Amino acid sequence: MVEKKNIITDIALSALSFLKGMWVTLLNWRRPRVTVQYPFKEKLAYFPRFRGRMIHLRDQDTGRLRCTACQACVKACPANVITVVGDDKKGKERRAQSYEWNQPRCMFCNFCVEACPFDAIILGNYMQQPAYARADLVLQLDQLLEPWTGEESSSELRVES
Amino acid sequence: MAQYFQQLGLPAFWAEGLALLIISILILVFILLNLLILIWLERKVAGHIQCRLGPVRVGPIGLFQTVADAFKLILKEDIIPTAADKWVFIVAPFLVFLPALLVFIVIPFDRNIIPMDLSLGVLFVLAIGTFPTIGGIMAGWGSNNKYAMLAGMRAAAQAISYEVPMVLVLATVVMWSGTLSTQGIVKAQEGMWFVGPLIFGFILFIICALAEINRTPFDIPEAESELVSGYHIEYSSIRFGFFFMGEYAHLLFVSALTTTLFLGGWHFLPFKPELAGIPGWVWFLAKTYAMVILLMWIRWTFPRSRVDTLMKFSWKGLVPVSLVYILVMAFIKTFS
Repeated sequence: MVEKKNIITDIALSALSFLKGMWVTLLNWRRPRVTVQYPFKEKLAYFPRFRGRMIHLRDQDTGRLRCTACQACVKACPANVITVVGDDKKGKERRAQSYEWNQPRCMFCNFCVEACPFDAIILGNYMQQPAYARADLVLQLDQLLEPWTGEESSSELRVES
Repeated sequence: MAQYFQQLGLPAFWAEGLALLIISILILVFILLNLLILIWLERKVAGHIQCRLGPVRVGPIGLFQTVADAFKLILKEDIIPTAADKWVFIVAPFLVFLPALLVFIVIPFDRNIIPMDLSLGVLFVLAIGTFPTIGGIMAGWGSNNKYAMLAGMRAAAQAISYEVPMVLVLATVVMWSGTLSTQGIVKAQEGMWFVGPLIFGFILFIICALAEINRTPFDIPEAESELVSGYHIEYSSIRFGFFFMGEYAHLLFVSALTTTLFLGGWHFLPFKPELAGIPGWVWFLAKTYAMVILLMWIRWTFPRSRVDTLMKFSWKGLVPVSLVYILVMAFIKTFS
């Protein structure tokens, strides 16, 4: 099976293989580096339907938050991470006085988003930055807002129901 | 330099002593500065060969990473195993690091910049260059650790087996240039660098040098996946720092030696020894660093040799080949 090669060609070929190996590693200088310098120089590109931090959406025309503290998301959540307290008005005029979302416990299953009858919340496209204490990651309503520009809000692009 | 101090009025003995002291401090500073650069360079070269970036955060392009690492090492706890042989354990790192400093005495940086032009330069280099092996064995023995001992033994075996072809190649170089003095060898390369006629010797010398400094593909003594750090397994903090610095100081020394013996030292080009305006040590450093990058390139390309393959390659491969080589070169030199 194995052909008896001349020992000189054997040695020459194996010496050549060393050079071939070094050529391959040299070629790696021409290839792009795979390191992503996160988070200082480059941001990671998230997929469009990535379920990250919860965002409260605003009404397109009035700019008011859509959430009416109807407790639908509270009932739908399997992990009980949402706590909502509404103010004293009745029906659709009521707004949430306090809305607490416990991010460390959330499993990002999207049940709350599906349950909401007003399309008031979504799980948005980025993750919260790390914190030093767990209490810093339990987010209140003012931390769950997105800056509203008054123009085409990203809520139009991302609500799925 | 000694004459300068003598002219200032110091008696001869003190003049020589002061000159030597200043020279040794200069060598130390040179090596430490280069070490900073070399360790950074190794990590960057390793990164880029592996399609990733090396250190980028600390300093402009990661240049201060070595300083940060040294700082971290100093702050670590210095542990000496209770059952270790204390004297042997403590002295071993110094025996590994200091010879690398010592051999720089005979390396010519420029036409008249050589710390001490010994007429037996090459012999001195060979003699001092075997000390790190003793340091390795001492580290292995003093650690009171079976695996460190094994690694130390392997280091000694490897060093001895590759010492023989290296000496034969060095003998070829000495024969070709006619002098043992390193400055003399560089001067003999004025027309043609020795890498031209002695190309095979150059390749042999690189292989043996890699084995002498325990560098991949011959880094069995410190094979991390097999013997977790080899003979410096029990060392922490700055003692480990000495081993680490020793490895890179050896790398620099071997590159400088190859440059001196084969690549024409401080000459500019084979048939154009000097370029007006640019001092010789610029070329010397450039060539040394080219060798360093070559050795790093080799390290990050090839897998590690198995220890018995390593020994077989030396005794059954390199020794006969280098014996034949020196014979052939002797013939060529005599009849040319």
